[in-house]
Amino acid sequence: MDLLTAAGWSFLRMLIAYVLSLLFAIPYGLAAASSKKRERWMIPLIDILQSVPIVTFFPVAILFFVKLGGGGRIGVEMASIFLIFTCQVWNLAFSVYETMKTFPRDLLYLADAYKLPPLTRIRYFYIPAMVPGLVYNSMMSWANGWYFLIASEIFSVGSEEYRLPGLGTEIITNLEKGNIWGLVLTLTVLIAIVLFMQLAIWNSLRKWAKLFEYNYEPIDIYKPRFVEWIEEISYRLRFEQLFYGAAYGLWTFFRKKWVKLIVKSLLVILGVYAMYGGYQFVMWLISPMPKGISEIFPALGVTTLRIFIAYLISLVLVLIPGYWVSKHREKSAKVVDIFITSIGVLSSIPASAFFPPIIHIMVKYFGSMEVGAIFIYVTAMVWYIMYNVLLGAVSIPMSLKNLAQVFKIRGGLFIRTIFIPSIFPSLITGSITGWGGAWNASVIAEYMVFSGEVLAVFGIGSFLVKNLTANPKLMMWGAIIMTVYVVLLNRLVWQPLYNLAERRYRRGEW
Amino acid sequence: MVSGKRKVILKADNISKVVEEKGKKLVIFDSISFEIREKEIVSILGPTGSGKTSILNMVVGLEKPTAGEIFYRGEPLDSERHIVPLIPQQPISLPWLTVQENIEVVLEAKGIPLRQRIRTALKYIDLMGLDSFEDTYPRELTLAMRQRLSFARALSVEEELLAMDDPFTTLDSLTAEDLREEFIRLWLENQLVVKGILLTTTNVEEAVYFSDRVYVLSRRPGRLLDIVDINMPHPRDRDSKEFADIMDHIYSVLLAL
Repeated sequence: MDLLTAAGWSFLRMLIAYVLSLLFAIPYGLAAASSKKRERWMIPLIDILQSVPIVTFFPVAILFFVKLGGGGRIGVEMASIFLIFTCQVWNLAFSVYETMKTFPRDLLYLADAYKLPPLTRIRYFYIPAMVPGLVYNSMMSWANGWYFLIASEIFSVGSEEYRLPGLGTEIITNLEKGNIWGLVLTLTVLIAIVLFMQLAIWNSLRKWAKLFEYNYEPIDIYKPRFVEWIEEISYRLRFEQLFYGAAYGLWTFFRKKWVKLIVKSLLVILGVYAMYGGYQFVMWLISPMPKGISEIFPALGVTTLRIFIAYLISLVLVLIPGYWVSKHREKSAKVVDIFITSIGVLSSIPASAFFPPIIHIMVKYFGSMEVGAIFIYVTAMVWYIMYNVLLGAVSIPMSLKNLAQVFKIRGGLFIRTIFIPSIFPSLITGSITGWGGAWNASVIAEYMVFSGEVLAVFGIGSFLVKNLTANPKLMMWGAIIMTVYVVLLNRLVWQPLYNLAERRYRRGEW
Repeated sequence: MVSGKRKVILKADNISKVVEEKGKKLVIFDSISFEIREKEIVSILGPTGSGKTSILNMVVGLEKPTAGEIFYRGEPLDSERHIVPLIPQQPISLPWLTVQENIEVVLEAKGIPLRQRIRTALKYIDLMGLDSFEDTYPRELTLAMRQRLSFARALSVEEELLAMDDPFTTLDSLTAEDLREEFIRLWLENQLVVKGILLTTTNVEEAVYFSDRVYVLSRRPGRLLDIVDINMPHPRDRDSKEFADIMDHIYSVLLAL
């Protein structure tokens, strides 16, 4: 059947992009965390890349990969995989970096005491410590990949439109034809895949990941069957020896003096080339300056306001189940499991697939796209916040819950002195990712096509989409200004809040 | 006996605890009765796994017995209404609140007005030797000081009964000895509002040093082996023959099994 072939193609692309993401994220995070000098540029770099909305990558990626593939299907496929990769990779790299930065000092001491060589440390200390963070972030990365499925299978540059076989293309084709049943069927297949992965893979990996948390709390030690298979296969193929052998080979190779020299000169050549490219890019940007740049700033303002409203709505939606979980002393872990499974599924549904019909009705009802846009922003951010807050709430130590029960600390007092301080750090982490998700979703929240009709509201998202083909230079200006703005917002608002959370969690000024 | 005339604060009547683990029924403790009267310190003494903590959790309202019942001043214990403050084995406090705020929270939960909260908190901070640490965060305190905070908090709610879950084991022996002596002095000088104390311990000497009555439990499943009344006057002399005799007796009961 066509639909299953399409599903197969979409899944294959996601899988390849995911494996590439992992292969990129682990060395990147390790490299960034292991040297102050590297940290200073590697972390801001992914911070910036993560803040750039996916559409901005389109022209560059397509141009590059389509040319690389000689204009054929392979090039287009590579471009698509690259776009999915940009949805999946950044949070994984951040996760590795965070794990390394918070690596338990006493374990490090142990490694130092036994003078373990770097590869042994990576194999037995660092990689295992990364597992919990990577499992959670992989789930998020896959959800994000599905969420932007349509954008990564259908893209047009100038007059040319590329469509790859896949679920995203199926969805769009059905939407264009107004074929509701076809749409429902496609979405069902998509949801079935996501649900299957959630139940068979992520939930069991999450259980397994508990083994790698650095504490000695009693847990049921559990290893998923497929992890055993993978281990078995890699054992038979001597994959591990090969991998670490290769890694060791590379390690010693790159530490040789003459190799270092060559690498350095290559880097210099690359740097000069990049500077030349950058110079050309800047010249293209400024001569002549496109008209309409002044429109970008009010657009950013309006979008910020929309995301802020969506954020407030999300907070209300999140704090209620979070409070419930924190109050219940026994069943809560099971309920959280169910919640997280649903979050995984719901956050994977591509907004531009499911929502056009809903938005269509909303537009009819409210007379404008405004409510619909905010609705989509909520769907783009609420899951991240909910996931983090629920995990924060479920991990409130039993001893604190007991304390509350013994001394009858309840209601508002409980919320003020136990619930909010306990979840505050995870609330901030969730908010940061949630806002990131919302910025990326701006291009689908503010501009939509449903059976030939364009539904759009004024904002940075619709600005980018409109100018993507009409005026790429203006689009680029919009994307650059937006990126600077988002990075500034992160630095000036979220970073201080994050630091405050860390400090307050430690001691608090309540 | 003198204690017979004092009013009963709390009475446990044939309580048992059975849990199900992987389909198998596991008896934690079986048919245990005990009571705490006014002006009494009562100990539950037993080896690890005899269900002491579980019994204490029932008294403070964290668990319910699977059989039997607990009465508080003659009426069935209601975990939503009756407050029995607990001093846990490991000190527990809210890390984002100062010492004083940690105490004020439980007073606020009791509905005490602000001014009185502050006054009461400061009184017990003083009593437990935490003065000048009011504005310190628990993280900055030593383990012993954090356990003192647990004591101050539990005493500050000024309930009739106090439950202590082996609160001295976590401290080194010298510090533990200081805290024991300070606490018994406060108790004997009637400086505390609390009228009865239930203590669980694995330490025979500690039980004999503190208690008016010791309930001796067996290994899992916990069963009542003996009830030992101790009428020695305080402060008790650990080197006296009487003290040694009582300890010998308890050891013989514990080791007989």
